Amino acid sequence: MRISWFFKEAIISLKRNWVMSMAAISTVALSLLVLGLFAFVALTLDDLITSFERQVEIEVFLKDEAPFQEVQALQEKIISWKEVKNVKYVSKEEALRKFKEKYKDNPEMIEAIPGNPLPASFQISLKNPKNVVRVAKRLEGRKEIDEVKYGQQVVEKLFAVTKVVRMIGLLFILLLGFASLSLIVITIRLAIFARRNEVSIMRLVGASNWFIRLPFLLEGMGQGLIGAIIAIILIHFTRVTFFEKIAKSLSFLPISFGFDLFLKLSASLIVAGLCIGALGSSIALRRFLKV
Amino acid sequence: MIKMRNVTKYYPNHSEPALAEINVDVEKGEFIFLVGPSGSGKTTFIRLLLREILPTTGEIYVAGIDVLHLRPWKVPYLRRNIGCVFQDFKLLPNKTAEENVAFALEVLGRSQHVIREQVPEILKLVGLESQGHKFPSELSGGEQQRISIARALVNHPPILLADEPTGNLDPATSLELMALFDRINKMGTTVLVATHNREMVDSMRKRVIALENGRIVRDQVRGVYGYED
Ligand SMILES: Nc1ncnc2c1ncn2[C@@H]1O[C@H](COP(=O)(O)OP(=O)(O)O)[C@@H](O)[C@H]1O
Ligand SMILES: [Mg+2]
Repeated sequence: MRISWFFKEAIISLKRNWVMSMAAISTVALSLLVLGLFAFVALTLDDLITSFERQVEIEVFLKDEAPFQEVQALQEKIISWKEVKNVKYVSKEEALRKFKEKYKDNPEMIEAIPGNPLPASFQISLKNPKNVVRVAKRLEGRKEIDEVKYGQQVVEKLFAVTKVVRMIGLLFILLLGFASLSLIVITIRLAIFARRNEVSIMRLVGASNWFIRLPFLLEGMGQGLIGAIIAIILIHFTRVTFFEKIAKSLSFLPISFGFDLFLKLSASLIVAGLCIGALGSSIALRRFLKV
Repeated sequence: MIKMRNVTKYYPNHSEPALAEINVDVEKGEFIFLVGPSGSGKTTFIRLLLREILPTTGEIYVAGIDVLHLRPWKVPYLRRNIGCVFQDFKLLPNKTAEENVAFALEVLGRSQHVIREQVPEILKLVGLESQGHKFPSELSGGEQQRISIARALVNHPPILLADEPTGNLDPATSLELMALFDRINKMGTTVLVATHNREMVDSMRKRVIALENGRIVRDQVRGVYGYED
């Protein structure tokens, strides 16, 4: 079987239909560009959130009168919970030392404190910050515990923001994806129409169905592939001109668009482009299934 | 080679059948004229054999293939057994005569080697070995029809179907084409020609199946056209 025949046919058809092909290729490129940039922003946001989330801990203040053995037993118990990563005990003396350290420039603050009013505490860090509320609720009301504090609002706000960002991005990508798919379907339909005589003769002399369909399938996948390559080139330029500058000026934030990520993104976009192309031409060819 | 049993075909939204209760047996190597006035069902008969359409009721066998129970993806293999020729030639205008013939082999995935060997051979059979480089627009109607016959035969199908092959041609050219069909038939191909060309049918004295309003009114060995148009 001569593979070159199919590629020749697909390229001839791409040329013949070049206006519609350009339209289809540009929309594919645009949607994949948005997809790529959005994926990058989403990944960065995810990184940011995780680093924020890591800072979210539960602080448990203990009653002064709680016996030390019970406090120790409680610590062991908390450590054994599956959500918990680490529990650090801060004694009254340590808390006072930290307080004095923090306010060493304000001696009058320190002098104003009689004895040691600061409670001992546990600083609990979790494996997954999503469980903050659940673990905190479980601790509240225990007889050794005076107060449970956690950054609930911060966590919930962060999650809400990511959710909205994800929804908007998804919506955009779906819309653009649908547009590119439709344009590919239309171009392939036009290509089939332009070649209806060839196609009817092919069927008449008994060319197999896949032989008839393959050039059109390749044409659609070619459009998807070219669109993806254009998107990758654009993303590359955005990356070197734009993102690297941002990353430099905001070096305290964990923003990075390294070559590694770029390569992974490019590979995914090429796969996405080929899939859109294959899907579009399959839809256009569906009527061909009927003999 | 061809067997039809009680074949009836209704087109959607038509109360009268295009073909009714057709029973036909065609042996290997026969030459048959399918005659009848326009609208009598000749084209429908041919489209049924090609499985372009399915009958409403009845059974059809072509080259040993049960056409009705054929899986859709196997239809191409049925069609490889049937060469087909039409009134309007159906040549591709942007390909030369040779390329038009070669196209039928290319789309079956035949190798370049086979194509180079078989195309000149078949062009010689239809008497156009020197015209292969010409485009259809540079050829006469009769020559174009010969090219389309060459394309139909280049894959050596056991059956050749022709639907009004001389409908666009003058009487002399038509008779030449009939002689070609006869030669092809003598080489072993089963030939079925649908026509309403009286001179042709009468001059050939072959088996004639006459249709009227979708029914077989006559099936005669060595028959004549037999209608007054
Ligand atoms: N695709 C179709 N849809 C509906 N009716 C059709 C179709 N093709 C043919 N017919 C009808 O079927 C009958 C037979 O037509 P046809 O087989 O084309 O006859 P012929 O080839 O002998 O002229 C005619 O009455 C015609 O109107
Ligand atoms: Mg007809």
